[in-house]
Amino acid sequence: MELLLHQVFAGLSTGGIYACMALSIVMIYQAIDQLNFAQGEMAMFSTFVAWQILQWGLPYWPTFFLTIALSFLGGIVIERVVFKPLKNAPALSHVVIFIAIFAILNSCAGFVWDFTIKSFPSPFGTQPLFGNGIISSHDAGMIGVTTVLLLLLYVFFRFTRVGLAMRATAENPESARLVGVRVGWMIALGWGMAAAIGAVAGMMIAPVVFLEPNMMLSILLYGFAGAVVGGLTSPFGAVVGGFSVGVIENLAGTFIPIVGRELKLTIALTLIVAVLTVRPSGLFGRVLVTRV
Amino acid sequence: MPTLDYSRSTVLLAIAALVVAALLPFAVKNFILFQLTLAMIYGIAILGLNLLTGFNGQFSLGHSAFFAIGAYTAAIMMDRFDIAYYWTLPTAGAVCLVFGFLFGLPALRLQGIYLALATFSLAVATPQILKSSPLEPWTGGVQGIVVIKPNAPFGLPLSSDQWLYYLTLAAVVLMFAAAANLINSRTGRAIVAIRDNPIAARAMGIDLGLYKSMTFGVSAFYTGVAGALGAIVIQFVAPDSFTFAFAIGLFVGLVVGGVGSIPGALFGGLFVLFVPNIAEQFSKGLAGAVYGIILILVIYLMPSGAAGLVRLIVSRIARKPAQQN
Amino acid sequence: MSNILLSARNLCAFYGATRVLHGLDFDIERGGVTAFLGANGAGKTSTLRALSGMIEMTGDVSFAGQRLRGSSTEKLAWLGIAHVPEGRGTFSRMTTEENLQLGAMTRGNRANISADISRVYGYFPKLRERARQQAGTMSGGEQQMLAIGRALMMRPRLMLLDEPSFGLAPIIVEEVYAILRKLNEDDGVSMLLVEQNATAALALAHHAYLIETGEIVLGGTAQEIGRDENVRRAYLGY
Repeated sequence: MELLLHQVFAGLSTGGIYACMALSIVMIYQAIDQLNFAQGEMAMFSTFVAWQILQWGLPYWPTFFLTIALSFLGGIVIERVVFKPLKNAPALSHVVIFIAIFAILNSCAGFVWDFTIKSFPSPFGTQPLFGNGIISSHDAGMIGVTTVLLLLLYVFFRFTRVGLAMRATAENPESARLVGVRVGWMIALGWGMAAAIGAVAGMMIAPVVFLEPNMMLSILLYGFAGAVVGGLTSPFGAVVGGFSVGVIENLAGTFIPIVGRELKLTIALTLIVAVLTVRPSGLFGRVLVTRV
Repeated sequence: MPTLDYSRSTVLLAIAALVVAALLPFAVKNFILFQLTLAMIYGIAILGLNLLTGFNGQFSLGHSAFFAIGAYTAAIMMDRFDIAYYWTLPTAGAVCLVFGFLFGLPALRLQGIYLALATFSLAVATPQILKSSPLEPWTGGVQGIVVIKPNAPFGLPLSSDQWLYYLTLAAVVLMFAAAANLINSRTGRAIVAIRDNPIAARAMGIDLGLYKSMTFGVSAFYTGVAGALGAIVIQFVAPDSFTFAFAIGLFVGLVVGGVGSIPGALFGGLFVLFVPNIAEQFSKGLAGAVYGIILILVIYLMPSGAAGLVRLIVSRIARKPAQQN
Repeated sequence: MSNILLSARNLCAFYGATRVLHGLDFDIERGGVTAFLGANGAGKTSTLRALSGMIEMTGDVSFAGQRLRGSSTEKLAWLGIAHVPEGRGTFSRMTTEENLQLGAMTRGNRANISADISRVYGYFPKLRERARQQAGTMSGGEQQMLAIGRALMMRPRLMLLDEPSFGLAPIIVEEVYAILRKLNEDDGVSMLLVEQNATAALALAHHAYLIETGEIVLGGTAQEIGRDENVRRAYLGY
């Protein structure tokens, strides 16, 4: 029983990271109908930037927020410089660009900071919480940070004007333009926010998986799985999906012998293919009907 | 994207290229030959991807998986069962045909970006699957399998590298010609119709499901054969040779060579082999960044890839004499 | 101050390389209702799209004294052009109230916005009942009213309406048009109305133009157009 609880909580904490990744993915998907395959590398790069700032002596929390701000700007820059000119290009071109960004960020990170594994501090320490090892303080901290982030986003989207404008842009860009929403800037804002959220995910997971340029590929895959399970058109679904994938992955890892331990990525693969085939709109997404 | 047209000059050009290619082994060193052989192998793999993505419109970021299946099939046949290398090519192709068709079935319901995601997942998961313990007795786990390089048959006075070069060249000629034939046939037109307007295609009576799965199978076949050749030529297969990075490489080769262009696949193969090396010369650590920048430039400046550029140049040259009249 | 709110000379519009409007000349009077009549595909919707910056256009268009030259749709909204598009353009996943709030994107004063929302509910009591309901679940007539309400929230100088009667039962069409009349007569909202339903449009409009295959073939007061032999036979059914 204790093991089960431990694994569920561990699953929730990694699930929080997947939820953040899934949320970033859904944000960009809502903005431009494309899946950002470079989302993981963007998060990784942000985390390296944070590490560097920490090396230069800034304390943890100021670094945390500074990195978020820088990532936000970085996301906007990437959108304005690389994607805006490609607005009307075929989907294939977009995928190529995502891959190009993937390669560039991965290689630059390796070049500047090399490929040796680095440790990244956790602001929450790694003591077991509640004494009996069900959940560590960092795990609890991760869940906490993710929850705060999600609450902030909820408030932003539901109660602010800009949030409303972004939702309108995602749902119906043409109508949004008709009421005066500057759709181009809403898309850039979406990218900035996705980058910022990714940075949070990276900084939270780095203490656990250790910092190196290839750390985010599998996490990206889980993030995609979470987004798919929850529904690519639903931010709320992305979050639920992310947490679910985390718990599923951990429980499968503990209780299903070989499959669980060595084939965790296959679980993600299976989830993605199964959900996309059987129920493409996921748990909470909008069912898309193609008009013939 | 234009379909193929066989003007006389194209055929003459192809024959000329073939003659040059046939004479190369006597002019260059073994190592260069090895690299050219690899480039051709990647070309075949990219052609497979092109059949699926370029001509049929189904995105795949996961062809590294089929390459891996082909490579491992060959390696297992040669190392565990002592079967001669030439039997591995059709077998690897057949195995991948089946796997491709099977993967194509659920993929039927996935459009564009969703299929890209599913195939991306396949690519990321593949190395882990290859390392897993249930498969270890066959795959050799993390260490992989070492394969013995075959000698030229019938006591021909060729080195192994030269023989393998010719074998691969023969495969290229056969498979590229077959692909061209396929695209120009009724089946090929149906395949392209599905890419251009699936709804209209269905309305015309084309069984979307059958054709799309079949294309997936054929595409996997090509990449699988390439994988088998790769195993023989490199003499080694291991899970970490077939990571997502490799899938990216194939995809990049497709785009740079020219989506929807059969000869472009060869250029793509050359690109994938040589440019990372060149990029490394440029700056050892930033090879990936150089790679990425080249990609961005290609998309912005020549979105139809090298094949598109060649077509553009040829059409400009062809126009000039008319203007002079 | 001139009586003409918007004037267009030699307006051409393009979908890609295809030209669909071939040099239209027309004026929209300040405070009046102008109708564009024509059959399906005549170019009525394209005219509105061109004025809204949604498709490529050439020509001289001046709005409230300002030359409009390739402005983006957003900018034109800020200039005071409220376009109620073909198909209503409601944000179906958002509530009625959110749709109305989106209409106020170009405005700043919170208090005024709340007051205006109340005013819209005054015109359309049915919408007040459905304030928290998802817009996409409402009937066609209610969505049309919502679309008009959203346009009102922009406090526009000119309202462009694309076939407000489309898909609505005759009794609902009457309701909608009664409200449009009220908006024009009581609040002085200038309108450019595009309609296949010529009868309803001519009953409301002061001026009308007839478009056929991308060209204006007739123009004048609503009465003149309504009395014209050809119009009566082709569009009014008698």
